[in-house]
Amino acid sequence: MDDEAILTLYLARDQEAIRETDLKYGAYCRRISQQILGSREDAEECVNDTWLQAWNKIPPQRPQYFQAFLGRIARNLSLDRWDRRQAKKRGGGQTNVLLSELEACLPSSDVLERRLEEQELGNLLSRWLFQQPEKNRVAFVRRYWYADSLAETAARIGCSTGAAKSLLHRMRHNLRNYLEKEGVWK
Amino acid sequence: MEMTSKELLRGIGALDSALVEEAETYQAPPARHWGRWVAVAACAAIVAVASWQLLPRLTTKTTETPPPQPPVTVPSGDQGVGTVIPSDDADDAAAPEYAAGETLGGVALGMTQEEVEAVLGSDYDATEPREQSENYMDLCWYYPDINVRFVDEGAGWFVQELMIPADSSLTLSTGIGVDSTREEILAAYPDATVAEEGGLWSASMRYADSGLWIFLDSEAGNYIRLTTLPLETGNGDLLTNTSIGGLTLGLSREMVENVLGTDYEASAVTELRANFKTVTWHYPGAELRFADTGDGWFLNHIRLSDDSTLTLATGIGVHSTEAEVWAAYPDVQVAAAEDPYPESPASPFLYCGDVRGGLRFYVELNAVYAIELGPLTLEPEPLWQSLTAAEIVVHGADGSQVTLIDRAAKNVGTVLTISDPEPAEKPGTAPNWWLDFGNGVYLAVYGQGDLATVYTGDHLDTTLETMTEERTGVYLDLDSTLESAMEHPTETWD
Repeated sequence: MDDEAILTLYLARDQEAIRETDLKYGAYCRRISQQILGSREDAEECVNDTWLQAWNKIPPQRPQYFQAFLGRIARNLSLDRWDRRQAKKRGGGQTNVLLSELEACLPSSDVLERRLEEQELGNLLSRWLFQQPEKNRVAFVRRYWYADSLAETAARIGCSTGAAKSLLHRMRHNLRNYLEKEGVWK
Repeated sequence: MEMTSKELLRGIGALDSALVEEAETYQAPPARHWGRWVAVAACAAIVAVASWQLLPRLTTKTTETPPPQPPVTVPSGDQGVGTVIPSDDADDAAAPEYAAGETLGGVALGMTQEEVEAVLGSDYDATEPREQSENYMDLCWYYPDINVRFVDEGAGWFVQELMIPADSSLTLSTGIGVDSTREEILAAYPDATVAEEGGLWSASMRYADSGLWIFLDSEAGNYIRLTTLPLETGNGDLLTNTSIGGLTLGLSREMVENVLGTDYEASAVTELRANFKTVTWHYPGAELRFADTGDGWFLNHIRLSDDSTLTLATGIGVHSTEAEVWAAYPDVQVAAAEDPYPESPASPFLYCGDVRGGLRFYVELNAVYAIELGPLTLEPEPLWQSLTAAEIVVHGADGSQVTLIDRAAKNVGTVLTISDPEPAEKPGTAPNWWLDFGNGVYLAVYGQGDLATVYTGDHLDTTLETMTEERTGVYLDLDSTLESAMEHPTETWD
């Protein structure tokens, strides 16, 4: 079933929408969640919560990119769950590694000129990414949005793991400069 | 206020949906592989500029059809020698990809097969089309005077690369050919930047631009190449064109002696395979490894250690800073610990070309402490490290069998440590014991357990006879693990 038809089911409040969503995007969302959490059980719960949130958001929302819309919900729910697990000192998934890598984008002063809302930061990052070559964009998003491993990221963009690592290293450096230039960092 | 990486990770979650979808649907473009032809072209350049005997393994007969070869990937090349010749018509937007207006033997890049035949005729040997990747095929036509490489990316066959060897009578559109002098070439291409070759190549120079390469040699004849590979050289080029202290991979042992002298200690010759021998020369600060695949010895690998004074053409040497490496080689990459290369060091290193066989810089405390180039030809694993039999059996001297370990024999290297093999006279006696790998390969051990030889044979009896009568072998250091294994033959290892 295509996205339009599924969205029509949501708008009609037909619960078949959830079944069709799970059929089409279940694996996609489970993968995102599992990459972050490293646990199949937790991922499964997150995906179920994702369908519930989608059900609650549509309507009034009518996402233009349905897949990304669902993926974003799954990702956020997974990060929430990861936060809760961290509080209980339970590890797993790629998240710790990603956070460690993203430290490189933070300046040493760690002082913000202004705190950005999540969406505002997302917009800023999107503008920066749109300036990057396609392959670089994909590498960055696969690594830090989808929480792909380095090897998976490399396979996606068709290069060696070392090359992907090198590429991401330069991108993080570039991002830090960009954020400073944009006045986000003091 | 402090932003944390966690907040940044959250912010990334709010990326534009188009970026998210793009990353989900993205398909990596097919890898561009320039097969053996590129390496051959580079090697042919060496042949062309060399007036001395050279590298039988590197030479090629242009009239023969080469066998299909595994592709050579094309990472960034050596930045130490690149130069630019602006084309005569650089602003020609109609064919920006090609060396605009240039022809070699009357053939231009981008021509169809029919057009090439119209110019050169049909006296050529053609290779079979090779599918290098999806929607990307190539083949070569070998004329007596010129090699023509075509590619088909789904829109038909077009000339992608042209090469004339040093004895060709064909010329560029400017009349420049194999006999042209340096002055004539500079007159024809006045804006050309010349990259002088140092060391052994003092009598040669070469030009390179987005399409035209000329390797000059006044004695053997120039080698000329026209290609659509802009400023991008394959690992083959990197390996054969990179000079360290006047040394280039592929040199004969005699030429190495001419450059560095004879103040070296040579290891014993090791026969890794029936057609692959190696030997290492230890100079102060430099370890040079030669190989012989049946056509004579050639320099296969160079390693500079921390007391070396040799440098690359870029001036980079041991003790250069990491920043200097990055400046000299902007495309250098960082090898990650998880890269599947053999003998990975504990810390990442920088490399150009192939991570396993390119130009590598080992850095510690911001300074280069070692440099490696090569190998030009990957060495096969020693026979005893590439066995596939699942069971290793130890025979006692009387031939009785004791099962020692049940595991993939390819991991036998963890049981045996074999180092510094040296030729040795072995006792004319039967081995004390031997390892039977179950696939016709035996490792016979003599004396105190430190003298061993690998044998192959279909029948144990015959092989035993050989083990007893053959009087030469290699000296192997066997580690204590194996000795322990002999003492406790029923133990197994994970």
